[in-house]
Amino acid sequence: MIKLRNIDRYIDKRLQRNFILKGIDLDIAEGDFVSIMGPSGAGKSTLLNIIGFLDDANEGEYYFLDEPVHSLNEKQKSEYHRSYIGFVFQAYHLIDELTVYENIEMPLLYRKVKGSQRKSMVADMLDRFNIVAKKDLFPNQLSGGQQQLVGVARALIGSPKLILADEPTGNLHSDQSKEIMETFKKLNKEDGVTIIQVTHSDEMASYGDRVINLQDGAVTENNPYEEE
Amino acid sequence: MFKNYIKIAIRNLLKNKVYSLINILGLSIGLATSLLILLYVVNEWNYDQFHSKSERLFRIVQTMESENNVETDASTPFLLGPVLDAEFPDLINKSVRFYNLQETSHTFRNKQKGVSFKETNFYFVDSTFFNVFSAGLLRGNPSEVLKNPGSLVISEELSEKYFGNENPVGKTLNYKGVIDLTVTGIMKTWPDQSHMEIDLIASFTSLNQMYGADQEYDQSWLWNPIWTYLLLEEGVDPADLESQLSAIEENYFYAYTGWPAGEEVTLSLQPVTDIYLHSALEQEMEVNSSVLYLYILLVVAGFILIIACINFMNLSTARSLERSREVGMRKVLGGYRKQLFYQFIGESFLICLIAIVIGVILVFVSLPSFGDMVGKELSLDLFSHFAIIPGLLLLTVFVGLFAGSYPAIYLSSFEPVQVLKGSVVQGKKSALFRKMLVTFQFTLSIILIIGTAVIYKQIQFIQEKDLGFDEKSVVLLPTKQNLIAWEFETFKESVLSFSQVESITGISKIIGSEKQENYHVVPEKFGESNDELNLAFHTTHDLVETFDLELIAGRSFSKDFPTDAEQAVLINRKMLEKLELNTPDEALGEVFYFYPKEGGRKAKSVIGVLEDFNYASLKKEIEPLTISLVEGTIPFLGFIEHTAVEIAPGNPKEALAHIEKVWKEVNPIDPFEFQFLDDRLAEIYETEDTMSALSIAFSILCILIASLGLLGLASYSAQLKEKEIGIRKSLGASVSDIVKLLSKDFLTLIAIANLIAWPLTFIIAQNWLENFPYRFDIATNLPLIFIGSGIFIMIIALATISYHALRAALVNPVDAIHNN
Repeated sequence: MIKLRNIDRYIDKRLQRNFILKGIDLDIAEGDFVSIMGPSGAGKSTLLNIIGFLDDANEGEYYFLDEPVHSLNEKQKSEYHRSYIGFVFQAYHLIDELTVYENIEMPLLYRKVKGSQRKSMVADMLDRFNIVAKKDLFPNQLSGGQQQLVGVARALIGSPKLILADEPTGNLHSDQSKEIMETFKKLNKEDGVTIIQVTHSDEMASYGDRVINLQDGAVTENNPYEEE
Repeated sequence: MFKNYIKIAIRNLLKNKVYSLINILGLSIGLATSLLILLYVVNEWNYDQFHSKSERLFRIVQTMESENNVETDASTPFLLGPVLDAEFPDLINKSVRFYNLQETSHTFRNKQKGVSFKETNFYFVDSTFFNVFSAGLLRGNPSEVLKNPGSLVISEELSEKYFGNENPVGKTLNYKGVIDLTVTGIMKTWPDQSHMEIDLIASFTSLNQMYGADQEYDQSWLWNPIWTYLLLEEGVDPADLESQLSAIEENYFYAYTGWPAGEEVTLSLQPVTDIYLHSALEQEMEVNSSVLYLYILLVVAGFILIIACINFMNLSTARSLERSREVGMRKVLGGYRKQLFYQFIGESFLICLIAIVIGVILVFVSLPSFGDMVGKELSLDLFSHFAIIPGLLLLTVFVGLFAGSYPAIYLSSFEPVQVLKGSVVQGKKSALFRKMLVTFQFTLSIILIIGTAVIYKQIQFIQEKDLGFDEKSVVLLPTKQNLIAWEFETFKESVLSFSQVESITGISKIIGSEKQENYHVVPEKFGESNDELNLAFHTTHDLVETFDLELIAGRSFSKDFPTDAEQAVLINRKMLEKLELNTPDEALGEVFYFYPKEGGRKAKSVIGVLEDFNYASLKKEIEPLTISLVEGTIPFLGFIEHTAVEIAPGNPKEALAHIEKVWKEVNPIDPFEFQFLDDRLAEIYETEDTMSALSIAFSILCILIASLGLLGLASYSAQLKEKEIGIRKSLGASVSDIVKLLSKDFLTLIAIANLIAWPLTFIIAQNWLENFPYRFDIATNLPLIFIGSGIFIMIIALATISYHALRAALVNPVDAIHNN
């Protein structure tokens, strides 16, 4: 599904070039549940952003479902965001002025889903995450865990093939974290959704079936579990 | 999706109530002001459009050119209209002549009821009047009412004044105690939006009754007391007619015996709809307005709207941080940049829509007082014209686009990676742009303030300028063609018998007013061949005393010299230059030739020289002047239009009561009327007064809107710097340090705005002042006006900013740091 070849991401300073990512080669198959780990500044989020089309590599090639991403224009990238990729963020990034219901509904609006269908899809999602009672509340009326559930629900409503989660449990305590990770695991196993998450925690990584370790912009360990 | 946008927009508006209020209020005030100005301009623009044939209506004007004088009159000789009708029957449908005996006051009397009034808006007109002009006739047949001699048509308003509820048709009104006019029709009140004002019209043929048909009063081509209007045939090009008018000049004007050698006349056509805004000729029926003022007002409206829009741009981009995450998230969820752009521009439309609704309400609320200020009855009926509501919507869209484009482009450009990471996106570029906009805003405000100060100062200068005569204690009585002429000396003596009355004299034209007369007066030393026009003034005895004029050589007219009326003339200092003399004394004994209308030549020699005084209005330079003495009833009737009475300072009531008593004894026909000279002269500057009041009002609004924007920006920057302020305070910064920190940036911008505005305004102001022959010295007033305006706006800005700066500075530092 994802094929990265010799990806470089760098920032040019006056006298030197600072590499954030250097020479990344990576293959991720459909149905994988991958955790990207590594110390702060290793380039984890940047890698995730490149995979999610939010950032562009300076060098190298990236194929998503055999489509060369490096040659897509902005509008085409938006199409992929609508249909294939869902994002979950550490800071949830819900829109403050919209209710739970409206936040979850928003991706459907951009996909121009019809009103009645939209209603039932949002209702399903609220049901699935047990937040029906909260649907008319605004994000700041919810706990962090509840907000992240809404964030996940929003990512899932478009039935994406790939979920990208940047430290999804970073702001949550352990019970809430477990709930989120269980949800991911279930999605991965039952619906075959590919999941890539960035995390610092071995516990969270253990929900997945593959770990990629990054150090100073390069992959140091790939698939440690398979080697075991 | 649309619903989603609206929801977000409204919730954002409600969430930031202060910003929303500033945004909407600023735009509303800006829009309301522009709409008011627009209403005024549209009103002025549509003068004389109510005539159904307005595009075929023209007025004939006459330019006379001699060696050193060019004068264009709005009026023409008596015979021009009929001559044109006869000569160009294919081009001209009908002509209409207007004549008011060259008097501004006409006495009408209902003998049965015993009521009489003075009317100013009265004309003798040709019977074609109602075919040419679109005046609504309530009673009577348009083609009959002015046909017979002695016919009179009056307005419905006057009908009530003279006849109460009776039907006036068939009844008579006595005109000036001379002829009876029979009311044949009633017309609707003449529209305000016209360059002429009409309350009563009598048939032109009535003049024969007044003067006697054999008097040949109308035969002269030199005397031009008639306003001549033409209705052209359909499809006739006015230029075509104009090009053929030289034949008329040749065959009638120049051919007239007594036509001065070397004087050329040119006739031209003026569209009636252009008169009000574009015509400031001699002998206008009324003082017209000027299109220049409309352009100035439109520019001001534009300024105010731009300032309000800039507020919107600044507040939207300054607060972009709060929307950035939404932008990032929407993009991540698959929103195109274009969609985001539309979302934000849509929000600005929404705000503009709210603003225009409030703006229209503000217009309705302020319209009556605005109307009072500009002296017009303005009204706004949203449904009176099909284009008004679409026009307002168009304005909304335009303002929404103008104000919203930049914020929308800026906001929709955010990259999700950056904004979602939470890194501050306060781009340097947008901050710089914002600073430029604030500077621009304040530059416009300062231009308006200084402009206002200059206008105000100039008007004050004109009103306070020493005119060279005493205008404060003089009362004017209209005495043209008046019974007083027969008994003037008796009248004078009786009036003078009261101790409060100091002096009294008769004058031909009002001293200091715009209308003055030129006569053929030639200094002997120039020889007889040199035909020229000079300002000439006529008076009875005691002119110098009544107006406190200054005699710099010789003597004034005196009863000790019975030959003065025939042989003496006074001149002003300006005339010395013309005579190429160095001292006033040298002028004594100089001879002038006068050419009276009845023919012949009179030689008069200079007996005295007067210091220059502003004989005409301050809109004109002082010109060389001759003053002749008028004695006896017939000359009085011929020249004297007003009697001027000087009253001792203090309470004028008793003196006026005394004068009225004497008036009624001498003249039982005309009602007693008076006007103080200074009040009369103030009327000349009515337009300027209105402009001054308007510009003061608009600059206040302008500063208000700009300050609102500053308030918003200051509160935002205080909010942004909350943490910095907390840290500084915990490190020992004083309140004044903090206020300085927050105010410094803005004050720098305003200082720059001052530096830009000053030279610009200086140039504009100087250009404007060129219109006035008498103007205050802008160079010596520079510091007061420019630096004063600069300091004024600095103080206002500082006060605006300080509110937030102080609030931020007084917050407990622990709270501020903790919150971040």
